[in-house]
Amino acid sequence: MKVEAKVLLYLGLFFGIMNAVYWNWSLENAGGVMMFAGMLLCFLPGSYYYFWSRRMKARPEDDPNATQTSGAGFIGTFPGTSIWPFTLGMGAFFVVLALVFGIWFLIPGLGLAVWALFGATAEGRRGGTH
Amino acid sequence: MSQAIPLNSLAKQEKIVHDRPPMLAIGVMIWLGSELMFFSGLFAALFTIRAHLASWPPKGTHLDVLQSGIFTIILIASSFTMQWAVWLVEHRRRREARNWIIITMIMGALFVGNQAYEWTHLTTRWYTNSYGSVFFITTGIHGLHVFLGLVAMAFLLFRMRGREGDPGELSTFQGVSYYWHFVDVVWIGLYSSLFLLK
Repeated sequence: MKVEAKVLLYLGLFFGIMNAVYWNWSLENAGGVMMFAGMLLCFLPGSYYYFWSRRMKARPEDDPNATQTSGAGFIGTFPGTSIWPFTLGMGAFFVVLALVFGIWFLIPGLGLAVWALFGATAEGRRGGTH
Repeated sequence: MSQAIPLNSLAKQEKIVHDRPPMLAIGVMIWLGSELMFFSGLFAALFTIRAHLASWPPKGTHLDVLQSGIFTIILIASSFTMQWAVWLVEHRRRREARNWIIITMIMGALFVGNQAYEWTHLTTRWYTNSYGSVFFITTGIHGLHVFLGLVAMAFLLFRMRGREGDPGELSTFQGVSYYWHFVDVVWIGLYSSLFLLK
């Protein structure tokens, strides 16, 4: 995790220094604000990875001599198969149709989307089939 | 099954510790990066317009700095109650965590309520001047984010129903909490630049 953290933190540092230079010499604000946000964009996940790199053991990815098998084991909890992405997609489809054919398409569109959100949340609760 | 009971009661006292960052939490962090850039676009517009105005806020703008300040403090406090709920879930005290989520939701709803009050009572409208446009678009988008945060918390409560937790519960909790903290920090920036900055 250390490598990822370092890459992002140094990149953020670079943006920070560049931003200081830019803010001083440019006569506008938009670019400076965006560059400042660019710095934060690097620091946000970078500091999160750094926080984790200090409290977790080295992963197989961190070891140049690691084999495929050392990465085996528990990764996370995921539902095995799920209908809800499809339902959500159909909901989004009808919502977009509402822009073209009339507002009443929102009724099935939002209905399907909300149904899918409830379904996916409940599925996450059960953990699905592994 | 007979072995599961003592194991379960032992687990109740232990803190839940992930040995690596949950994928969901990393995903939320990266998504918050895109949210950050989205809001920075709004901030860039705000500061560009501010640079072109003679006074900020323009004359004739009547903002209630104190009232909004009070609700800002409520929103910041809701970040702490949210984090407290995460801590409770980490220590397997789910029932208390649920209550603190409800408290957080009430505080967030109070903030949105004040936002709605401001929107209807502010004499400056979105068509009055450029400050009005910036004010309504930034507070509107932010208010929408707070509202969606409340929806996310409602889903969290829906997901927490039942007596036992599940392996994915803590990371979901953390994901919602990261989002909530992010929305709070953005509001601190917005409040400072819209209300306090002269």
